[in-house]
Amino acid sequence: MKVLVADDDRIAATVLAQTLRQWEFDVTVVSDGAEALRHLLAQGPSTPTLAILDWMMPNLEGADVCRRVRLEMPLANMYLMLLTSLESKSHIIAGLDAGADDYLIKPFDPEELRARINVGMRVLSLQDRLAERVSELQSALANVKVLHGLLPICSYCKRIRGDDQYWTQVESYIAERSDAQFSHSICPPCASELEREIDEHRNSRSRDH
Amino acid sequence: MAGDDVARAVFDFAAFERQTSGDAALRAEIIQMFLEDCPVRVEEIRAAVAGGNAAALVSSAHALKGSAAYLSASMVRGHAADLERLGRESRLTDAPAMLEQLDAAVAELLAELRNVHGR
Repeated sequence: MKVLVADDDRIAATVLAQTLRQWEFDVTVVSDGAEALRHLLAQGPSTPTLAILDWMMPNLEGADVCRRVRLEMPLANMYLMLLTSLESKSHIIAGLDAGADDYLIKPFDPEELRARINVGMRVLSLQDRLAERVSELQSALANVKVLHGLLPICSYCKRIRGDDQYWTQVESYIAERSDAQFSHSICPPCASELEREIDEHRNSRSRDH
Repeated sequence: MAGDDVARAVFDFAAFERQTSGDAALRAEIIQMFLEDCPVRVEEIRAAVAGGNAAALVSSAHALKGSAAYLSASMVRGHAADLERLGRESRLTDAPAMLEQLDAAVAELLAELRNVHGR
């Protein structure tokens, strides 16, 4: 999993990055907010899905990075964590309001970091599965054939006029627009009508002879 | 704040080990960085105090506080936090005395780190 660490303090960034690498994360380190934003908005295969951002950074503060990511990519599946000092409790509220998913107090506790990253990974994988499900449903919906509205039908032959203005047999019209299929047979009233017509035809022929 | 100072350790090696998840190479790298960066930060703080620049004091003291925290160097961290607070409150008249305390703590910490680093 790709993780972005953004901190202008090289000691903090090194400890954090190395701790994450010990856990086999693929870590990128940047030292200012604008650069962090560039990485997060890149939308490529190497775009990190989890970011740990220091609050105080040159060019753009961590909370502003969160705000911009949420504004520009509202649907992106990205877990953002802010690093803040113990005495900056007001930062926590402002940071979460700005779009951060979680926060860590500096200096981070390695065990707490691990636990909070596990939460992040759980949220990311849940969102991934939901996104997959939504896309499955969308493609299923696209394949559902629609049959509704007012249909012009000939009162005699029962052909239906389609949007292309051609008159089509009712069977082919419905088959094209739904999953219904037709098996042809003759219903009892039509069968007796047909029998009557055949008898009449025979009788008229025998009379003629 | 004298009571707090007693509780502040110059350098807590056990805590530093926990912070670096037992990674000796990482500890050496961090100590090396701190030995390079700390004197620079302290000079920035000194210049800010001398020049009466509260904003510069906040930013340089904040940076030193952050680095010292990762080294589990509570005493330097505490003095840096005090200086950062003075800067935020624009009370720079109290800063020179605080800076003296920071200088003493830094000297003690750097000696301790060189000792650990050389081992």
